[in-house]
Parts: sequence; structure tokens; C-alpha cells
Amino acid sequence: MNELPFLSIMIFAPIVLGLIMALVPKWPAKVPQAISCIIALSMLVFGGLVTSKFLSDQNGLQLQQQLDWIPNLGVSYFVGVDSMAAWMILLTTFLTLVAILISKPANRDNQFFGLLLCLEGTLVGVFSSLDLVLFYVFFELSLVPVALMILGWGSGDRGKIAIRYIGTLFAGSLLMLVGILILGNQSFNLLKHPTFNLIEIQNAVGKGLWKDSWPLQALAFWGFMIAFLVKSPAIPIHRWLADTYENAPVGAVVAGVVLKVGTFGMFRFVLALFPEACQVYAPIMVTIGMIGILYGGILAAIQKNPGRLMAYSTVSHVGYIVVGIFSLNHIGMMGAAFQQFNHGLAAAAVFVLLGFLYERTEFRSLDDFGGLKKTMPVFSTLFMVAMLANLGLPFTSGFVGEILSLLGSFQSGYAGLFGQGLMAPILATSGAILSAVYMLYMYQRLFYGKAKSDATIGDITSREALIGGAFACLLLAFGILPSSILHSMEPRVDSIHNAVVAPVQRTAPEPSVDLTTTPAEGARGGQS
Amino acid sequence: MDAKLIWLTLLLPVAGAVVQTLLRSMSGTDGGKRLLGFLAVLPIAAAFLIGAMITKSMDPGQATTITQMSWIELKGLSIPFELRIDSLSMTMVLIITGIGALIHLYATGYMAKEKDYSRFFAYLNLFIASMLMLVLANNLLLLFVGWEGVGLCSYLLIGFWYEDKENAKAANKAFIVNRIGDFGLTIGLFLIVVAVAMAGKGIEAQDERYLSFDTILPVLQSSLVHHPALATAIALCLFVGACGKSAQFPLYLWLPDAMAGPTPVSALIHAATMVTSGVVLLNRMHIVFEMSAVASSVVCFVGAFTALFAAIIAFGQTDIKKVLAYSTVSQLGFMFVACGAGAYWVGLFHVTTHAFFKALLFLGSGAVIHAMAHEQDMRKYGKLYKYLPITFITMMIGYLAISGVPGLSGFYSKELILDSAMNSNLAMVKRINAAQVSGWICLLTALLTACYMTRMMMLTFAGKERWMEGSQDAEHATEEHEEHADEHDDDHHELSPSHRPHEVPISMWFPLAVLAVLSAAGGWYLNQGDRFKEFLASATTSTGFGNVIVADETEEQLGHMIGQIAMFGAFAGIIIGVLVYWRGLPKNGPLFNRVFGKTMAWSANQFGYDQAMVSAAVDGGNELATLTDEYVDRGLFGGIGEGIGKVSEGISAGVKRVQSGLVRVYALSMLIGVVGLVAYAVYLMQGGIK
Repeated sequence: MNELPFLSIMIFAPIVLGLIMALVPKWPAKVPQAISCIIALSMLVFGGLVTSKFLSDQNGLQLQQQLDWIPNLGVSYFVGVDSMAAWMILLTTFLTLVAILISKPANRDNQFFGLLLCLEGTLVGVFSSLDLVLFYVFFELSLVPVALMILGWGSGDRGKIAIRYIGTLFAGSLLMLVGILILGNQSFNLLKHPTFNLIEIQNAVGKGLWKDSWPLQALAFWGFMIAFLVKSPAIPIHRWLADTYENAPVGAVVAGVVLKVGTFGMFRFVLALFPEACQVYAPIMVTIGMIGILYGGILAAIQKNPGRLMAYSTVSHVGYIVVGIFSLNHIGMMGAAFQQFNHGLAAAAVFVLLGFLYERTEFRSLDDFGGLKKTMPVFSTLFMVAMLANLGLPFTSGFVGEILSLLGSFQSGYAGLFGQGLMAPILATSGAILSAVYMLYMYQRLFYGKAKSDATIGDITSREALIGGAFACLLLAFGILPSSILHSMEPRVDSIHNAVVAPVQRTAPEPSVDLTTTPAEGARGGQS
Repeated sequence: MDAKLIWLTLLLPVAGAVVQTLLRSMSGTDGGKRLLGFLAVLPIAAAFLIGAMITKSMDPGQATTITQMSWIELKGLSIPFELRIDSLSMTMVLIITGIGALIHLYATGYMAKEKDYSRFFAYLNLFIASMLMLVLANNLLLLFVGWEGVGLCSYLLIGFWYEDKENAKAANKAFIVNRIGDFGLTIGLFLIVVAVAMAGKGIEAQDERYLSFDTILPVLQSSLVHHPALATAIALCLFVGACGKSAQFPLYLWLPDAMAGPTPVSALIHAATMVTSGVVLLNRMHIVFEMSAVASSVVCFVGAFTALFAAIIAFGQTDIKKVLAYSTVSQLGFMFVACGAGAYWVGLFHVTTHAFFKALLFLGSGAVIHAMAHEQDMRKYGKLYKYLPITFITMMIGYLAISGVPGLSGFYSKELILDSAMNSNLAMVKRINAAQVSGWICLLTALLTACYMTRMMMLTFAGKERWMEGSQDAEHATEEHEEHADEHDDDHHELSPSHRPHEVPISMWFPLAVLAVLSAAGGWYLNQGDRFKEFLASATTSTGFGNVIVADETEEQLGHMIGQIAMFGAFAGIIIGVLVYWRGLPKNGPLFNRVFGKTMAWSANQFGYDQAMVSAAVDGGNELATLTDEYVDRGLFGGIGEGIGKVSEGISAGVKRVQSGLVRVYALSMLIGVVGLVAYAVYLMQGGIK
């Protein structure tokens, strides 16, 4: 505990500095961007330091810090990271930096960049909270900057969209609050002292937290799940994302793509805290994921607005993550963990590139373009890489996550584990056809054909090419060498997997000793 | 020869693609183009040399695995970067790099006037690299990398002339149809993983390479015997993938449209790469197919049907490249019949000879197109033997080879296919011998092949110079063909009656000459003393099943007869073709019209199949998506979202004292949360008191 409290710095420095910047009026031009750029860059360095802890063989929670907050209720300020959270934090810091670099707000840029920094801080908070109430607070707070950015710098009917955004997501998280309260109550009953400490409750689950209280567990499970599904988003509540992606300023969208909080929450809270419910509802969740994959893919194919197209594509990609998580299979969960990181990156890459285009000419429809390959060769190449990562071509990062998620789900389905079948994974696999359809459709609209006469725009500048190139390199690098992420995430995913699968072995009636094994072996099997 | 150098074979083309991309500014000048062209051919030629040396020093009876590093490494699944050197992979490497290098050389001449010179060669090099990855991979997932890689490269190359939307559509079609096949392959891959993991009690725990051929092939062999249904399922899934890449019915749709790309690309797709991957996959996984009579029958029937179907369609085509495209589809059907009959090495033998003569024919047609100001309609050709002597002679050899004239390469492989099909008893389901039925269909198709190829040659090289006859022919040209003609010819003049075709430059006819020699003598050389069969024996025949092809005395005689019948068929086809097309384009006289007119038009249209599929997929898909959007997304889900939105708006309106309703909503929401927490605290304390 002699180290610097990295996490707290990464949470509060951006929030405080961002608020100061937003509230102090009268800044010279360019200065807010430069300052926030420096802050974001140092956050990225911190993020790298945090993640590097997990590249060596370390695992388990790192950088824990616990302070009393509301001791009477057992609420504490408790942060710490595992390897999955570390990678998500690194992604957050990277995307925030990119968002700051590419944004050119029309006015009040001090407020815009201040909000971006606040968003970064709250997201780091979400990813590192180890206390349920703390998590809830950050989960809620992270809504505010995005909503304000839509309100201040968005397009279309932005007031309405911002309210929708907050209202929908908040409605979801209220249900999570119910789940949190149930958890607190249960653990109070078991441990005889109030606590919202995640680690403590997780241990309590192993000690029979849910004993004889199945309805409560189911209720809490759905509370959390609905909140996370809405956030991810999964069908049926996904339309808010389409409106948001269509109208939010590019910077907010890029940083907002790391709102992989939903699936992250499933990993950190749902799987570990509600093992029986996860097993019971796994087939339902896999089906929801599968429908999302196909549904998002079908609807993405007819969208004219690139933002809406990417929103439906996100629904589709989130489907893979859900399928992978609820395969409750080690390979599938690894795939989901990887896909959750990858999609944050790959979708952001497309948004960044679309942002470059948007800056040159404000467009609402893909039909406004054509033939850009001729005038923008570098841009079209970078866009190609981003597109391929989104449609999951091998050797881009998109492939690894998808194939592993589906393989895991297929394995569970084949073995008939947890009531799963083969139908869902097979149908989900056909999503690869749909992703090819809608991504190629977008690419064709933008780049093929004769250039439209009014769109005489030159290729991207070298600074833009550098940012786009960085994305392209990362997408390829994580596709060809995914092991850096996979290795460091594996112990964490493994422990989650054990946590969710283990109770079956404990509570299910011990199978009558296999005739082929000696009693001694059977006993040993029971212990492990 | 150090086998590790095989990585160099794979990486050289990749390096070539990178170099082309970096030096793209040089494609402006002629000198720069020459250098780029040289740098494009060089890595492929070098890869060929390395491949040849490794082949020479290897033991064809053994497979060597070269493992480099891990790619995806998990508990329970390990997929390293590993290559496999055996007779199958090295045969393919030599075909790909050898023919590929010739096509690259040819392309340096063909694309000389192209502005995007370096982009073209970057794609082309990448194409070779992907294909090499596909054949060299030692596990199914790496094979899948190459599999999707060639799909991507064909997408890029078919859409190379991007200003034409039609090309983009053809490119999309190729990619999406291929993805349908990939879907099948993916499922097959999953099934293999579970099958191996299930049966793999004998596999060491630390060796979890559930997709590597050296691990799975023996396991599948021993375990699938007890699970015939699983064997059939795996085989059929893999076959769906093979159908996608190798353009078999019903997934052949993309290949004819792929003609939208530059001609060297067509040659590369059709001869050396891409379409052969399905046959390679079947060879690689032949153990699974041998285990299932049902799957083998399906392979036979699909192959035979495709062969016949495509041959009939070829009669209706007026675009020279389309005739060749359908002939590829048809010839691929032959290969699958051989595989279905259990004679996997024969399928590969036909891949090899077909690579020789189809590359030759495509490059030859490219030379014709090049000389004819990028006109592809055969009805405007005629008497070209006078203007393009080298092209004529070389194409003549290719044509005779594909027709199955004895002595030339096509004869040997086709005869072997018919022979093995007639004598096979592998694909026997309910006493119907699918292989034998397919063999007869193939025999008929062989006759048709000779016939439509004669038609193509006669229309192109014999008769009168029809482009000089003015424009009345142009009116007959249907719109479809107009669309698919290359429209990039800013630098080329239109084909005018005064046009005088010139023989192509040496960079283009030299590859033709080499391929002509191979087409003529390659089959004889490889078949001598069963050289090819023995070379491939260990990779494509399984040891556990004895001889699949039972050859006793009587069948030996039948085989002999088949050779004669095939020969007869080839000559009959040629004679019929010559008789009908002796005067070039037959006048659309009443008799001809009555007999063939409708059929020709119908077959030109692929019997409406393509149209039906495309409109079902595109229009139907669009309709489905639009309806879903309207009723489900906006109606149902939108309603839910709207409801929540309305509630929050209602709340915000209700408390609207300050301007920003948003802040209010938020504050209120937080308030609810806090109240909840306090209520809970109170509840807790009460509980605590109790």
C-alpha cells in the first residue's frame, strides 16, 4: 500500500479539473483543448501503468483503496481493479484522448472539454468501484456529461433526445437500485452487519447468501440485468442509442462508446452475485443475445444515417457479448471479455473516421456521398480496416471475440449445459453474414461509384491520418496478437467462471458415484 | 533445405503488398510502373523457388508441422501459428506461386495503362498470401484466416474499378455469398471442436490444439466411426463452405459476376486461387467425408449437377469471359465428383491441370480483350487468328486440353475422374451409387464442354471480322452485357469498324507460352508412372480404410472403355461445335431460332436462378428489414422507449420551474434513489433493533 492511489487520482483529477475548466468563463482560444489534452494524456499514461500490472503474472485485485463513507450503512469508498477493469480503463483513457483531439466544438469549448474530462473520471469510477453504492453513484453520474453534451452541442431535437437518454437509462438503473437493496438486505441477514462491499457479498454468496430465497435472487438478478441490458443496449430497449448516435457530437460518441459498462457490469456483478439465477436464465439471455445479433444486423442494413447504422450494429455486436457471457463456458466468456474491449475500439474507429468526414461536410445520409475512394485514398484505406474489424474478419480484433463467444456457446449448447441448445448459437453464427451486408453497404455508399458533384473534399490531413492509423494498427495488432489481452484477462474470467458454475456442484444432489470410478476417486471428485 | 523457410513463402507476398503500398506514388510514371511491376512479380517468383526447393527436399510420405508462436491461447483451446508441409499443401503452393507469378507478369503488361497500378498489385500480392495461408495452415482456424482473406481480396479486386457501381455490387455479392459458405464452415469447425473434445480422452491435457490437423485427423478417424450422424453433419457443414468458395450450386452465383474485375484477376481467381480452396478443404478433411456415404453422395450429386448446369448456361453466353467463368464452375463440379467418389487425389489432379489450361484460356481471352479495345462481346469478334497468331495458337492448346483431347493435360485428369466415379462404391446410399450416376452426367458434360468451348473459339477466331460490319450487331446486345463490359477505358478508344487488333507485348504472351507448354504436357508428365498419385498418397488417402476404389478385372475393362467413350465424346463435341459455328455467328434463321433460340436466351439468363435468388435476397431482405423497422422497431420497441421517454418528459414538464428540464429530471431521479436508500437504512436499523 505504498503506491500512489492511482485509481483515485484517475477518478477525481479529471472530474475536478474538468469542472473547474467548465465553470471558469473566458478562455483564450485553443487553450482548453490543449490543457485537457495534457490531462487526458497523463491519464492515458496512468491507465497504461495500471494495465501493465496485469501483463506480468499478477492477478487478483490490485490498487485497492478503501475509505469509510457512510459507515452506518456499510457503504464505503472502495476501489480496485482486476485485469478486465484495467483494460477497460485503458480503453477509456485512450478514447477520451482521441475524443479531445478530434473535437472542434463550435462554441463554449471550455465546457465541452471539461465535460469530456468529467466523463472520463466517472467512467474510471464505474470500472473500479468495488462497492455497490459507489458503483451506482458513478453509473448514474456518467450519464450526466453525455446528456449535457447532447444538449449543448448535439443536432436535431436535442433537448428531447437528451431527456430521453437520461430518462431511459435512469429508469433502468432504478431497477438495479432495487437489486442493490436486496443484496444489502440479504447480506445483512447473513453477516449481521450492513455492507455493500462487493468482495464481502461475493464471499457471502459462497456461504449461502441465497439460501432459501430464490424469488429474491431472481428479482435482484433481473434488476441488475435490465439495467445492464438497457445500457448495453440490447433489444427491446435500444432505440435511445440510435437517437443518441445520430445526434450527439462526435467527441461524446467516441468517448461514449466505452459505455461497455453494461456488459462489464454483467461480468463483475451479475455472474458473481447471482450464480443460480444465471444458470436458470442462461438460455433466455443467450436467446436475447442471438435475437439482438440478427435483429440489429437486419435493421442496420437499411439505415441511411451512419450514426443509426452504427447504433444497430452495436446492438448486434453486444449480442455476441451476451451470448458469450451466458454460455457460462470458459471459452465463451473469454470471447465475450475480448469482444467487449474490441468493440469499444472498433466502433470508435468508425466514429472517428466518420467524424473526419462530418467535419468536411455535414451530412445526414450515406447517400450524400459516393466515389470517395478517388478523392480520399488514405481515408478509404483506413475506413476499410475499421470496417473489416467491425465485420469480424480474421486477423482483425473483431474476429477473436466473435469466434470465441460463439464457440463457447456452441460447446455449452452441444453439451446441453444449463438448458442451452444448439439453435441459438447456430443462428447467432449467421450474424456474420448480416454484418458483412451492412458494413459493405455502408462502404459501398461512401466510397464506390462516381463522386457526387457537390462533394469536392480532399483527403484527410496527416494529423487525422495519424489518429486513424493508430486505430487501424491497434485493430490489426489485437487481431494478430490477441494473447496480450487474453492472457491477462484469463485468470479473472476463470475466477468468475468458477464462481458462477461452482454452486451447482455444491448444491445439486451429488450424482450417484460413477460405477467406473472407485469410491475414493468419486470422493476426490466431490471435493474439488 | 530448412523447412522453416516456408514462412518466407508466406511472408514474401505480404512484404510485396506492403512495398506496393509504400511506393504507391511511383505509379505515375512508366519507369515507376516498370519498377513496381518488377517488385510485384519478384516475391511471388521467389516464393515459388523456395517452395520448389522445399518440395524437392521433403519426404512426400510425411507431414511436417512448423510451429512459430501462439495466436489464441486459452485454457481448453490452443491455436498456434503453425504451418503444415505435406504433399497436399506443397502441391498447392507450387500451383499458387507458379501460376500466380505468371499471372503477375502478365498483369504488368495488361494493366500498363492503369493509374492505380500499385493498388492493384498490392491486392494481387495479398491475394496470393491469403491463398498460401489457406493451403499451408495446420489448423482449421488459420485455414479460416486464409479462407476469409481470399474472400476479402477478391472483394477488393472485383471492385477494383470502383467508379462503376455495378462492380461494387458484384464485389459485395462475392463477399456476401462467400460469407454464407463461411457460415457453414464455421459451424463445421465448431462441430469438430466438440467432436474432438468429446472423443479426445487420449489427447494429452496440455495439448489442446483442438483444431490442428495433426491432432484432429487421427482422433476424428477413430471416433467418428461410432458417430456416423456426426460425421455426416460435419462433412455437410464443411461442404457448404466448399460450395461457397468453389462456386458450386446453389452458391455459384458470385463467380460469373466476379468477371467485373480486371482479367488477370479472373485468371487468378479461377485458376490458381480461391475456387480451388473448396477442393483443398475436402482433401484436407477427407477422413470425415469418407466416413459418411450420405455426405459423399451429396458431394457427387451437387458436383455433377453443377457441372451440367453450368455447361448448359455457358452456351447462352456472349461475353467471352462469362463463357470461361461458367466453364470454371462446370469443371469444379468435375473435381467435386472425384472427391465425392473418394478419389481425392484425382480431384487435386484436375485442380492442377485445370490451373494450367484455365489460366491459359483466361489470359488468352485477356489478350483478345486487350487487343479489341476492351470489348468482351464475342459477337463482335471474328477471324482474330489472323491478327493474334500467338494468342490463337496458345489458346488453341488450352481449348483442346479442356475439351479432353487425348494427350493433352485435361484428358488425363478427366478420364481419371470418370474412371474413379464409375468404379467407386463410397457414395452408396440405399443401393443408389451416386458416384456412378454422377459419372454418367459428367460424361455428357464432357461432350458439352467440348462443344461450347468450340463455340467460343470459333466465334472468336474464325469467321469474318464482325466488328467491321458496323453497328447493327450492337442492337442485339442485351443490356446486361453492355453493363458488364469494362467501362474504365478512358485511355482506350471504342471498338470502331476501322479497329486493327495488334498482338500483345511479350510480358503478356510469354506467360501464355509457358502455360501452353504446361497444358500440353503437364498432364502426361504428372500422370506418368502414377507420379502424382504416389506423391499425394499419404495426404489424401486414409490408411485405415483400405482401398476405397475397388478395381477388379471387369471394372478395369470398364475403365478402359470409359477412356474411349470420353475420347469419343470430346471429338463429337468438337465436331458438333465446328459444324454449327463454322461460319462464325449462326444467322438467326427460323430453324435455328425455333430449335435453340428460346433455350439459348433462357440459359443465358441462368434459367432465372440468379435473378430469383438476388431479388429474393435483396428485395425480400429489404422488405423484411423495412417491415421490421416500421412495425417492430418503431411500433413496438419505439413504443416502449417512447413510453419511458414520455414518462420522463412528463415528470420534467411537471416540475418545470427552471429552464432546463433535464437537470430537474436528474435531480428528481437522484432524489428517488436517496429516498430509497434512506428508507432502506431505516428498515435496516429497525431490523437491527429487533
